[in-house]
Amino acid sequence: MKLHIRRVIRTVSIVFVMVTMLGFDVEAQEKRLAYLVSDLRIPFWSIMARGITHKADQLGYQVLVYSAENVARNELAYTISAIEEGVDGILISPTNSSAAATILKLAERANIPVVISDIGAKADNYVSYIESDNFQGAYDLGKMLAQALHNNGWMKGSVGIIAIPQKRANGKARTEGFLQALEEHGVKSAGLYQQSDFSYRETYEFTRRLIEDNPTLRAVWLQGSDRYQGALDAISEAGKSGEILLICFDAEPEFVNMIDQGTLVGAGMQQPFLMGEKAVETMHRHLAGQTVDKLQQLPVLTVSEDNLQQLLPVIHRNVLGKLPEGN
Amino acid sequence: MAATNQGGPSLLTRTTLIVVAVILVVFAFHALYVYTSERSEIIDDIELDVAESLKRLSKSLGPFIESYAVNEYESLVTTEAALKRHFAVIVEDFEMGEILGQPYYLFGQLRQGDGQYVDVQARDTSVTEQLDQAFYAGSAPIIGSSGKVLGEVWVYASDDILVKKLDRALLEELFTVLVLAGILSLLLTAVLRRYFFNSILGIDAALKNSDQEGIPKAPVPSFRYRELAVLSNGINTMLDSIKGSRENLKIERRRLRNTIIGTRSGIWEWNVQTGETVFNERWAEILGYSLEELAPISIETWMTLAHPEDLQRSSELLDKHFRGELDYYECEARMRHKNGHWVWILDRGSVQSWDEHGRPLVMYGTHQDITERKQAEASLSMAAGVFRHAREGIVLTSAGGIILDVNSAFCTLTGYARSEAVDQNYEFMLASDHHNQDFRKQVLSSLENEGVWSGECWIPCRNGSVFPTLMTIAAVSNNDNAIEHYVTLFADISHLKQNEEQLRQIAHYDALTGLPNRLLLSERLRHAVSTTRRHGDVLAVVFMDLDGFKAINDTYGHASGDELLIVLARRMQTTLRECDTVARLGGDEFVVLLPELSSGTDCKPILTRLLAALSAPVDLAGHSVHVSASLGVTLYPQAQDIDADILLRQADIAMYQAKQRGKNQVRFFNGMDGSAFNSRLVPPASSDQSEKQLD
Repeated sequence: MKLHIRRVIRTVSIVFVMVTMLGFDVEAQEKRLAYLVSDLRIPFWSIMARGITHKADQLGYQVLVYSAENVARNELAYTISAIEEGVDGILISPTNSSAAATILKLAERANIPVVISDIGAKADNYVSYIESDNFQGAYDLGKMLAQALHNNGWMKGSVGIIAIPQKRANGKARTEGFLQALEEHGVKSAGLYQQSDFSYRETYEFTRRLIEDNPTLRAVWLQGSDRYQGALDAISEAGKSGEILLICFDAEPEFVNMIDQGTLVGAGMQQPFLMGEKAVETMHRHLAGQTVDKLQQLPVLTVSEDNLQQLLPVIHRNVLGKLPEGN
Repeated sequence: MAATNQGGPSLLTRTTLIVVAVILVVFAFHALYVYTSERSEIIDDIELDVAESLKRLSKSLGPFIESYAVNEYESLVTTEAALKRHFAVIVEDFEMGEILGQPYYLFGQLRQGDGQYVDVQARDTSVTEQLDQAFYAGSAPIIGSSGKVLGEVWVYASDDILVKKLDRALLEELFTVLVLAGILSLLLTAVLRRYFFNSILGIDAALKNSDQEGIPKAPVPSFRYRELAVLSNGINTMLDSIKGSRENLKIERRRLRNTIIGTRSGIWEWNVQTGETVFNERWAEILGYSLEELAPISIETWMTLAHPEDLQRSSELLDKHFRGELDYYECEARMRHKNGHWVWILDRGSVQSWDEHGRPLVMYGTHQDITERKQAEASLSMAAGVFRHAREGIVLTSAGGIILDVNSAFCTLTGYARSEAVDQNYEFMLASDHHNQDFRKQVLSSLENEGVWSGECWIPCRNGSVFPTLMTIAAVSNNDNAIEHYVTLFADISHLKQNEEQLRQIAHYDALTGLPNRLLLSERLRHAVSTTRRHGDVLAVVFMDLDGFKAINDTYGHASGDELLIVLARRMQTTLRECDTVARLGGDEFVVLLPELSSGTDCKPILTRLLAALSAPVDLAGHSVHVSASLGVTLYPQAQDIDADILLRQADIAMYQAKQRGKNQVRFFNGMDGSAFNSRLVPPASSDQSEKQLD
């Protein structure tokens, strides 16, 4: 799916306009929203974009989607473009919270309301900020891992963490929630590495170091989902497959099977589709003159082998953006 | 005593104020210097800050602009502006401008009046106006990594920071100045008070502790510090000098007062120009008044009381003094005493100040009561008259016996010139042959005990003779009863002496024969008895009666009889020894005393010569007559102590026996017959009668 999305985005050099022509009324035809996203090549953002477009369609908005492809100049240029387009509202998933501040300022100058979906902004001149409840999700994930360790009789084993940059608010919240759960269950932490280039090699290397440095290592927790293979390979190459558990925050489509197969102990799955829907819905309500919460936190789905089947429909829709036929 | 200047300024306060003022001025200059330096420094700092900010921003903004991290560099600009408190920081982002389709994207921070920064999004009029007020501004290009100019950064500094800093610096300086000035003032005041004013107060206290005349009782205390010690010593030296001068002045005043009191002088001060006059109490007292009684006092007081004649003379003398003819004025004048009599005054004085024209201004002088002196002078004048004109000789002698003066009568009486007598010893005027040491002792004793001696004294004359005087010597003593001199007054009593001798002759000698009479005989007999008893020799008493005298007297008359008696008297005198005495009792009865005999027989030759002399013929007017004598003799001493009268009786009895035995013979008194004789003597008168009957 990732390759598909990237390919689509590449075809639209600057602006990929998705217009859902079906089902929007006249009133909705007059309103346009812009979705400035850091990089649609990343599944999470593309699923969120789908949630946005899905909900926009439902509410009768035209959505201009601008993917900056993680280039700041593009992001700014698209911001200007969106403003010049005269959209009624801007939804952003910025490249970073600092860039979001500039976007917010430019939008504010143009008197265009902005709803932020994830990442956040170093400013507060937005309508609402929607994010996953990273702390709670990580906490629940920690409890899940502790239970798994307990089940295996590895309570004396330690847990290594390969984290996203801790300067990010979501990274910090995830670490705190997870460590709190481990502490509550008496599980020791084996150390923490922060990702910087989010490469396979980086994840592999960090995992290898954790294994080498911690003989009692019984689990590795990845705060990001996309480079899980690096960790798996490192565990495998260390001959620790089956002895060291892997658990991830976020989700990839293949995680369903991996959980089901026990390759992954579990995953904390954000619901990007739902977040996108929530963003449009929030903007809609704002434009309609309704009061909206400045901060809206959506739950992270803590999926393990135990609840996989139960959550599968939700996972498909809200996490993977797969709508059942007919929707 | 000098008045204390209580209302004058306090030296401590004045010094403190000056010190504070000086400190403030010094610190004010310091503050001005600091202010100027600070201003320059602040401006430099501002320029440096601007330059540094520009340098920093131009370097650090590039990467953000290149990466279109607008918010990042905006944060950086915001931080820089706030951190450095720049008035404004403006960034022109050409890259972002390109996106916006404008020359640049502008972002900046501009400080407002409340100190808060606001975003600047464009150079509109308001912003431009505010930026134009910036005190200092600078800009720098923002160069990208490839050398491309990505934008420009402007940094503005306002003077409000300068003003604030300078105000703060000024306030700090002012505060520092005030604090330091306060501390310094306090310290200086404390130091001044401790080391200087306390010392001055110490000196002041010592000076205030003064006697009634304002002279400090105790010396000013000495101080540790040299300058104050010098001052203290100087004051003490001065005080010693003042005290010494005051003592001298007191002594002088005391002397003057004592002199005035001692001389009992009246003091006067006369303002010649105004007539204003001042007298002391003694001035009035001399005249029997008190000053109060004489009030109001003026020169008229003097003129009223002075004798008109003397006042005229006084005026003349004053005029002479005023004209310079007399060095000082002196006048003896009479003044009317309160009791009415005149008092002699010695009025003396001199002008002590003159005006520019040489006229007398003030005159000072004294009055002395010289009444006694005047009286003494009168007495002395009289005494001098006595001395000069007295007929008695007067000799003034010092207590040591040196002749001081003699009067003319002395010279006349003695023949000595005054110059010959003066300075001679008192012995000079005593005839040494007439006066022995006993006489001198007697005179000196009398003078010593009674102060006077009076008696007869023989005085030698220049021609070698002496003459008797009745002399009175009086010792003149002073108030201490010490003899100052002697006054000898003598009168020539030569004539008196002659008269006396004549009277003595009349009383003791027979007027016819010149032989001692009965009276003188009695004296010489008692004297001879006394001498004989003392010498242990023998006295013979011879009672003699002429035989046949009556017949001659009857024959030749009484004149011839008297002549006979005279001749026989001369014969007896020539016959007898020098020490013998022959006396005529009367008629033809004589008594002869023969003293200094070794024995009774020693008198026989004398008696024999006596009989022979008496019986020798006497030529009376051509007639040779002849008489004889019957001599009765008795000797002394005898077995019984007898007196002179009994001796005469015994000789008389013996003479009577010689008459009876035939006359012209000598008959010694026989003690055997004494009892009968004694029986005859029982009534002396009858005895005398019986003798006459025998004749």
